Amino acid sequence: MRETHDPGDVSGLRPYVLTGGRVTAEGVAFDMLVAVTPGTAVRPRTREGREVLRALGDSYLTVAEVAARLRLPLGTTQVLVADLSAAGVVRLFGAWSAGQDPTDGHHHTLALLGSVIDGIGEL
Amino acid sequence: MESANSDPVPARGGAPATAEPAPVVVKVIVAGGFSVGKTTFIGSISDIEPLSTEAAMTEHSLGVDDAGERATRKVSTTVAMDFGRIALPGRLWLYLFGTPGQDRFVFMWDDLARGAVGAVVLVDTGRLEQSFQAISYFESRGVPFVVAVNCFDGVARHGLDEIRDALAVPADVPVVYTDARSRQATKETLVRLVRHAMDRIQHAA
Repeated sequence: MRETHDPGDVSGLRPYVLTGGRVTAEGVAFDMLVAVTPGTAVRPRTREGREVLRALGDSYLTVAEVAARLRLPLGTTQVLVADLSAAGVVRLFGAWSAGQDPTDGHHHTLALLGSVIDGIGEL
Repeated sequence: MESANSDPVPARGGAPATAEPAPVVVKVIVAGGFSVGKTTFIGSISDIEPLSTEAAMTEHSLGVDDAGERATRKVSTTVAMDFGRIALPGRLWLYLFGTPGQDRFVFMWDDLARGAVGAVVLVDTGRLEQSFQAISYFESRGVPFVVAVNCFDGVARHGLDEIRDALAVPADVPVVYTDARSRQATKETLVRLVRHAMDRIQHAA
């Protein structure tokens, strides 16, 4: 864990500028998967947007991984990804959520957790 | 996809990975006090070197002032969230998200805990008090968790019952020894957590 409280630290300034002052990215959770939309011809207007696409390449990455690779704060990355998603350049996929299937006795959840246990056992 | 956007590393077999359906992301929280071994625990099993991202933690205090203007008071800090990824068969991607266990970061845990399988609370027996906050948080939110006592030197200096008593964890919560440096111990700890999460579901209502 690290904290920065340095009032002279201006590293937070640029991300704010490059997201145009927007500080929220509703609907973009840090654990969502992002992928470039297949066949997209749209080229992001900003260099940071293009860097997100370069980081993604042709793989799926979580928003947190994109942030880590680009060394951008999570919040900034969430805004960038939200913009790219709105422009149709990337697609977003939500993380699986525990306990979403109470009506079927959690069969799906239990099956998935069973697969996780089996998978860890095979590592 | 534009060639300019291509990853310099070609995907295996030449076909883009995104031609496959999206993997299912399953997440586990690794909580614990400062330098208790969270990143070591994650790194012992992760396919990728543990990554770190700065999450700006902002507490907003929104109000309307006398002139009808919206007034915002913010207190900002940044926290490094470490995480790792393990690809499992069946296109399952297990993510381990490490988070500081101190009470002043509790407000970030709601995001972390949402939809998580559960949490591993890493404990250093010399600093048990660092895990109180995480334990009470997961307990109050109904997030399944296991208490994993990290034996740095491979020697258990305290009995598990003693630790359970000191932490006042409910009887159904597993309290286990682990070694954050050991891939095998980490695997066993994670399996214990997932089994516990399954038990909780099966015994609910």
